[in-house]
Amino acid sequence: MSADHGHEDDELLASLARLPQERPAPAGLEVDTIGALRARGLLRSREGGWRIRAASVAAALVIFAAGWALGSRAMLPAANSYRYMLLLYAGDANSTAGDASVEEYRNWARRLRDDGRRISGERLDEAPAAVFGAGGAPGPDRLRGYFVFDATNDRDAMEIARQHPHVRRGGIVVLHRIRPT
Amino acid sequence: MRLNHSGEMEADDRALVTAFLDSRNEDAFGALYRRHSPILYGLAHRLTGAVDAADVVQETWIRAIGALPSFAWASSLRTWLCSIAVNCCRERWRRQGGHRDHELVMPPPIWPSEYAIDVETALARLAPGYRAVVVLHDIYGFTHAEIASQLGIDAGTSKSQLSRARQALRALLDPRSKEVPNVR
Repeated sequence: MSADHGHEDDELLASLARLPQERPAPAGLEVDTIGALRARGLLRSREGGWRIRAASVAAALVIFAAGWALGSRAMLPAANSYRYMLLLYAGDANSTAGDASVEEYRNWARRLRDDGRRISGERLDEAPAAVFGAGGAPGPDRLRGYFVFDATNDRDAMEIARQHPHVRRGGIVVLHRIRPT
Repeated sequence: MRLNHSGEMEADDRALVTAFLDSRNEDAFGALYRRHSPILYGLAHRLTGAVDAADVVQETWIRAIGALPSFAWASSLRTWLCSIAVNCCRERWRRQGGHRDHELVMPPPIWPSEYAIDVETALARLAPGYRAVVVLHDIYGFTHAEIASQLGIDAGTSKSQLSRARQALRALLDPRSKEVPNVR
């Protein structure tokens, strides 16, 4: 390190050291992980398995009460597939899309998952944490959530996006193909 | 090391691991999971991003639980778990392809370069290999020897990558800087 960078490095190191090491794991990940461990014979259920089934149901509800996190865990990407991001925006300032539709959204996501596709999603805070650059339409303040899923091509992805219940509820759905990095 | 693994914590971990191996039940696993998952998720989130972090944490636990009977306590449980998580992240980078170690900084983001960015955003712009060294050394407090072992590089490479990555971070954090160093 050069001497004239010493002070800057002190500031940089202090900034890095202040960053939190921990972050709460998504709701439902513990139950997903228990299920994956049981499937591999690494974990015994408590009493005949009924409790874990009950916990799975409860956790599924928690997932969508807290957000729309849908684990893609333990699923492999389909061959010849691409990943897409679906951004869900409120249709207008008074739109209720997303507020009372978690069950509907969960079912949409489950259908994709049952179809063997990887899918995950989260509900987002209404206020963005930060905004950079010029905003397009719709504005970032109306972003309500997102899903990431696999599709074989743009047409397949558009068909999936078109069927999302957010559209029927007056929301706006924006589809992006994720560029591999 | 900044990772919290005091003697008291290790004693608790040993008790929890013993209880788990005796019973292999969900309650015992849940205690381990809730104790260590926040740091595993924080680490995976920084190394792979939000989309893959949960998958990494789940894969970490699957591997850790499978190997737990042979865990010899040469390091703390938390350090061992973090090493497994880092390995899962590396495998993910390889599977996703496109990551080239000679690229220090990722392609520019959508916002103009004259905007000042915070240290989190700057970190996210480092290429995975360089970001990993900064995260592991400067945020989680791993030594270069530990990082070398986790990333499959030698300690000298870890040191030089840390130096380059910090230089790139300084440039990214300085809105006046027009030049972001790269490695070719």
